[in-house]
Amino acid sequence: MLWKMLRTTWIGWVLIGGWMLFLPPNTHALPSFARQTGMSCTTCHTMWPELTPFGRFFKLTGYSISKSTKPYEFPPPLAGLVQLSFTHLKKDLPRKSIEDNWATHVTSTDNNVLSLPQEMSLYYGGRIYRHLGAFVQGTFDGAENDVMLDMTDIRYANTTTLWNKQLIYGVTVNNSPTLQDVWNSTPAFGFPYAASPIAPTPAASTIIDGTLDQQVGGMGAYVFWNNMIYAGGALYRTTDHGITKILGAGTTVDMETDGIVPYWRLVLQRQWRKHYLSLGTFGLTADIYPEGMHHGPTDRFTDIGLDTQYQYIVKSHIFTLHSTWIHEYQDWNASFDLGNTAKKSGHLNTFKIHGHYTYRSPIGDFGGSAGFFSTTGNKDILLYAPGPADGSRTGSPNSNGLIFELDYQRLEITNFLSLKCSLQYTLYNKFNGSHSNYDGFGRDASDNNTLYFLLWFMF
Amino acid sequence: MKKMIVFFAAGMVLGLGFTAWNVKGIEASEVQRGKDIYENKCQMCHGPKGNGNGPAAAAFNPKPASFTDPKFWKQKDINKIITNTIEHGHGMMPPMGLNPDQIKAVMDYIAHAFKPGS
Repeated sequence: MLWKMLRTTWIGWVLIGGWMLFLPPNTHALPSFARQTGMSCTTCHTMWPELTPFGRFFKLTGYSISKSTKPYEFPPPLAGLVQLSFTHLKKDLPRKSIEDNWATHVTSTDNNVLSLPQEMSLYYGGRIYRHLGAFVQGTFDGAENDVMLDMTDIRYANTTTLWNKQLIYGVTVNNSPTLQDVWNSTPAFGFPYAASPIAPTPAASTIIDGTLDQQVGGMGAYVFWNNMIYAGGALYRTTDHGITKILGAGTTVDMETDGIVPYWRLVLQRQWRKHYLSLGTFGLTADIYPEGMHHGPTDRFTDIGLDTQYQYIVKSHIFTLHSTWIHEYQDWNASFDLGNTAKKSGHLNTFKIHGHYTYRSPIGDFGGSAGFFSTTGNKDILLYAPGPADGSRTGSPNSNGLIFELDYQRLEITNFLSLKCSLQYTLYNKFNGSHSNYDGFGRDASDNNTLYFLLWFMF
Repeated sequence: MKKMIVFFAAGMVLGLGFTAWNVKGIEASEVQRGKDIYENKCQMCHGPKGNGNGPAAAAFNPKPASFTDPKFWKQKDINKIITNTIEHGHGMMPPMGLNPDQIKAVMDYIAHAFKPGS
């Protein structure tokens, strides 16, 4: 029955895609940022959500650039998103490891999953008043069957001069470290921009790479001088209670931080003719209670990242290269005493490099990506224990592989609709420490190879 | 014969007059078209007065081009420069995604509206 539905759905998607290919492009701007500025989506984005230099500038100036002479936007800059997806795993997961609900449909073999929807979101995206703007996302997560406050970035920005050069300065309230960043080489808006909600992922990741999203909220400030040097920082605290609780609305806090979590960011960028290059560093330090605990000793994580981004943008051709390396030092002060780790300290290194090419045509944008990812760290048989599908037989977190993606993007199909289609293939060479039988239950790294198809509607 | 010549001459005058009026109408509509494109796509940075002082230009470095500056128009192959910049972008300015007709319309407009002496 699912295959019948899948076939019908595929036919529907192909028909929709074919119809959209031949619609004439509409120069009216949308969604809400485009509606606010009157500019095309391609002014700020290459292959959505990656930003152009102007897109970075729009975000740095507080999402407040507007074609309106009024100090506020009317109607309010609202937008929406719907993601529909299909995931195929090379080998099915252990029985009933994926929850079947009204949005997530699993075949009897547990290796094909339709997510209808994977996600639905509503946004406030744009100017609030004068130099104050916001990017606030409320999301229904289809896999979790849950509603939450998602990415939230409210910022005030203005301009002045320093040493006779332009200076942008701003303050931001947000709920994810690196969400305030304008480069696509940091975790919040890094590649891949969307992924399967149910495919297995390596056991280990750094704290700054999504673990603290909506688990913390905080305030930061930044300056951007002479279109060349960016410096910023933020202080976060847990969203479990207190003044920042609202920034974690709908999220279960299972990584409660103790005290303040400082974050820093420094970038040097240069634009010359059609080329763009940035080099940066970022990081944070967090004291976190072991999972499920809310008081007592904490573990400490210190993440330091280096990143770089190159872009070449002309009329019909765009080429982008991103690279990110993060080193995490782990102090298992609390978890070791609880018997959750075999060692009192450890480390983790992650490395990603990704290249993307986009061709802009009258019938839409066509693009392709190739990326390499790697995670390495010290062995710890208790921290990375054996377990079906998500465990490690050797106690090693080491994983690496390749991601390939084909994209088609049709922006401003009508006044209120844009579409992106992505076909993504993730190929694992090593998963949780091994190439074969990585979990101790006979599963190989390649069994987690994932084919993922996404329809991404924006309005 | 005389009547034919007079009739023919009157027809020529009327035809030329109609053509001239129509061309003027077409030119006016092209300028309006260029104005619409400018207000939609360019004004944000280059300003409603074409002086590079739009709402988005405050923090640009360098500033957007000022079409009211005589030096801008004295550049060699200025039409080619403008076309190339609109097509391919330059610095902070991205490619604007305009077709050749639209580029010509907006170029005609900025020359008509902002060029010193126009």
